[in-house]
Amino acid sequence: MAQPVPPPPPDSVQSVPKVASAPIQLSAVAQHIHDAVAQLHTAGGAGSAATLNNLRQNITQTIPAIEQLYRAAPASNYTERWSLVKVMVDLHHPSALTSLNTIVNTPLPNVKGEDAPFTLAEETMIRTTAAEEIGRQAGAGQADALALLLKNCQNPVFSVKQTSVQAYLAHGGPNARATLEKLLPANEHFVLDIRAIGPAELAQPDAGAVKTHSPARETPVPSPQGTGTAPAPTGDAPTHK
Amino acid sequence: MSSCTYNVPDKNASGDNFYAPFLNDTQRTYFWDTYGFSGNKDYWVNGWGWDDDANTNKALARTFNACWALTYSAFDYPNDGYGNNNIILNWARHYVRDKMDDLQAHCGTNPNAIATTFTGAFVDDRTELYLSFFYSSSVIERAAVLVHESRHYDVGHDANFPPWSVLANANQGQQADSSWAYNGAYRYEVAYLSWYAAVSVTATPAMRERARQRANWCLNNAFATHPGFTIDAGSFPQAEWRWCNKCQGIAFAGGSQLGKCPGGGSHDHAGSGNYTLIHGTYAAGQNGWQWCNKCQGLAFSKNASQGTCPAGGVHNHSGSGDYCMLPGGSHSMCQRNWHWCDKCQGMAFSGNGVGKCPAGGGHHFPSSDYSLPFTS
Repeated sequence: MAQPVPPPPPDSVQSVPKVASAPIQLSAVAQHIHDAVAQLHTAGGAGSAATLNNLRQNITQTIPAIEQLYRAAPASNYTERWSLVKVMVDLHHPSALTSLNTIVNTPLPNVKGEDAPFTLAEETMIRTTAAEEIGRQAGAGQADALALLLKNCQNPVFSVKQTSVQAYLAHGGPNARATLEKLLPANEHFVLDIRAIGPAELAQPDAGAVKTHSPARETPVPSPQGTGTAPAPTGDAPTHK
Repeated sequence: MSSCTYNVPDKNASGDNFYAPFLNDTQRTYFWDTYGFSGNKDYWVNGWGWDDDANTNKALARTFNACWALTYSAFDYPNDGYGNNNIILNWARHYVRDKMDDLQAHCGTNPNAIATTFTGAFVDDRTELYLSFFYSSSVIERAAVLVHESRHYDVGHDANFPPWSVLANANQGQQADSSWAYNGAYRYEVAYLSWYAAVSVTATPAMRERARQRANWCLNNAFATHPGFTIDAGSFPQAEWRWCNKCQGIAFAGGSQLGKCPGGGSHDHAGSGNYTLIHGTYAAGQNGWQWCNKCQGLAFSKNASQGTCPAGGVHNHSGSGDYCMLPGGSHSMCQRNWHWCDKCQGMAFSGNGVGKCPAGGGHHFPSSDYSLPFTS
């Protein structure tokens, strides 16, 4: 009788020692970008509006600086690279259009095998985040953005194409659908009917008759209250007058 | 034994700095015992963080952050039953608890592999998490991986990636789901991420957006038959609702001007936190709450009377979305003691007395209490 294949032995891991270097002096613009990334990742984006306003006041330096930081980040630091693009997006500024479009149209890396699902998903998400902002700017009346949006409807990355088509249908005027029907091959016309919906419209997954793994796991869940360093409601309650 | 190395990327960008302060030892013990870690200590020592489980440079603490998001994102997190149309944001933690067998940290054979689940008659059932899960993914993506992999204890993937997918020519084999109806791991992942983006009470704007982007990537690339929809950013909650210290009501403070206050002048939001209101259909709450474009306040719109507006006449809800108010609960990121006033139809905080009602005198609170999610 065949025996179960045992699991692999445990592995070990260690952090890469950091190379000692001189302290990096961030420029004022880079510091504001750094702050904007941090605030994007705080609850409610506290302070984000003020930092973005600071960046907008120096927009001619800000956009190239974000792009420079984006290009300098290691390729596998996806969350950092995506956050930089998100800051560029949140500026909602026409000056960002060219940089956003460059990011959208940067070819995906040629990865195959086990690395591909994660790598290509992360790279795609960076591009669709930028592509959606081009759509938003088109919706805000930016003619340049509308022209780029139409070009991106033919982008070879399907997610970029899909999000651009959705935006062009919304902002491209009464002939938008007819324009896209001519532009896209017939076997891609299904993209024109992909709707943007909220989660309540999703048919929910069916958990079915779930076999529980182990009754011992059915222990009461502890309260989410943290160690005291998390924001507590009392800290935000209206003050008594 | 394999050996590997890692760099710790920016912990703001990954969401680890946001989630880590919420965790305590009681929760870590619960996660260890509940989500498949137990019995696998050998796979979490040797640098993976077993002996340093609050250090978010280490793999175990970063996985615990995902477990926290998995467990506590729903405001009514204790309600984790599968039935009664409960949403997957609530029951995902129950599902992972029921399904996840041995959960192990491994180097992985490829730099960007994330996770693999092994099941079968002659296999030691387990889920292996690899370096990119810990160090290249955000917290919410890690939580979604736990949901996705748990689904694989019941069903695998059943189709090749469609010709339009970025994975169509990446030598993946049968690693996609045939359709939404297949009810596979990608459907679980999409639904979980979509609800997280829309109604989580413990999320940053970045985490919501990453969740939505990841859900849309799955929809556009991982189903052999496209489901026909993507997830709209318009479903996100709205921040910048603030308490007024003069009338005790809540009003939108993110517009170009502050609304008129029944306490005189404009609303004064000094001392208030930043409340984030859910909108759109959410069965756990009560819809029908709307913004008034005259006073900026929030009022219930489903009664015959629209309620007295401090700016004159009755509230005008033209241009408003449909906000969803949550009933009183125990979540630490929601504040109780908010009530409906049956004189002005508005929402006001009852912890400081009755405030000032635009219909005259103080507010009158016949309702049970509501919980408002706050963020800072």
